[in-house]
Amino acid sequence: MSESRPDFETLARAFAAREQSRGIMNECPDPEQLYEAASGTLEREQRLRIVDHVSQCVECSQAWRMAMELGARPSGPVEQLRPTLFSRLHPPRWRVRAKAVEIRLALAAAAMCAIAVAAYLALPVQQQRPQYRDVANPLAPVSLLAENLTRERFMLRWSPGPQGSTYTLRLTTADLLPLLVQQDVTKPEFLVPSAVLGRVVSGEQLLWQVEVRLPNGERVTSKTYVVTLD
Amino acid sequence: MQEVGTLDETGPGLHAAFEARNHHALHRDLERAVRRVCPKSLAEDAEDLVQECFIRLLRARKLGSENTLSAAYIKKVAYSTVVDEIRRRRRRLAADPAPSHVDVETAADESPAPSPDTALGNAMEICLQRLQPDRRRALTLHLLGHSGSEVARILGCNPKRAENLTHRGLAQLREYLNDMGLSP
Repeated sequence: MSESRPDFETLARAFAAREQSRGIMNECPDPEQLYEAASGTLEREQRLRIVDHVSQCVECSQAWRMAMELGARPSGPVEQLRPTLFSRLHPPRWRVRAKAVEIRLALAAAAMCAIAVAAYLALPVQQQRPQYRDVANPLAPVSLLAENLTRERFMLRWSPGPQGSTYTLRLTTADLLPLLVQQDVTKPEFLVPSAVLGRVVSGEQLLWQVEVRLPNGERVTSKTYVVTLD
Repeated sequence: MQEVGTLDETGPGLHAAFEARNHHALHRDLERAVRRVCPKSLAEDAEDLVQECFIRLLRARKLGSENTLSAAYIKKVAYSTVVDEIRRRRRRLAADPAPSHVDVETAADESPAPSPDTALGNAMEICLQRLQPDRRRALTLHLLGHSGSEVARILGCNPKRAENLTHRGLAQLREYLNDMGLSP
């Protein structure tokens, strides 16, 4: 507020020195409400009503000042200024420049994205082995079967490992029902007893797999092979 | 001064109610708050007002009010007690213009002698009522000593508008006073 101070002080002093209007005295608000209005904590409508009353009641003006002396002053956030139509139509220069920089940055980002997409679509994909599949271990046993096997001579054969290797053989139905688990096989072949195949119907496919235990203790598992029972 | 109960008369629960706070510290805070707003005419009765504050605090506590011993609540209670007493005395004066027990000094304090400012103040009050409500409120708060941001908070508007209302209200008030032959 930049009014002429002496004039204003005269007015403020006179405002405090005015005489009480007797008619208004019976309508004085409760002191607690007066205190809360001065603190700004009372609801707005009530607050304004009390200010209206204070403007014509000397006693409540004094009480209001007393509340202020006790520290009852409004605190908290002040309502923010809303942008006017003029300020929207005529923004300051710094805001125009900032807006221009924002637009340039957005355009640059969009161009980078477009280049990245084009490069992804246009450049040939490098041919390479899929990384999600393990490379076959050369020591893994490989099936040596060339034909179907009979129930009487169901001999499974596989490539041998180094000298001293032992093998574990697993045989299941196509439904993965285990038929046989033979451990510590010393030769790269195994004759499955016909009793194991008693419930298997001729022409049914069976799955088998060999795990070789190398002399150094390492274990290498073969692929799963399919063999048909004649 | 109306009769107020002493601490001992209010029942055995009083000290228990205030046990969380040192009694002397509470008394000191109340006394400080009362004396800060107590007009000269009530200075002799300040201790009675402090006791009245005690009673009010106790009643509020019995009613289950929260934060009855917070500094802000103590100030509010002290303030209400003093304002109520001032009003009570004014009503008594209004009802009985020449009471036998009111001394001259007190009466003088409560009814100040007319001063050069009084006429201007009375005229201001008339002129204020002619202003638009928003301008009148802003100007009233400014005359009471509130800053621009405080006026904005009380009126619930932004500071720029509060400042505008105050300036325009002040200009209009001066015009009205000039029309009445008063020029501050």
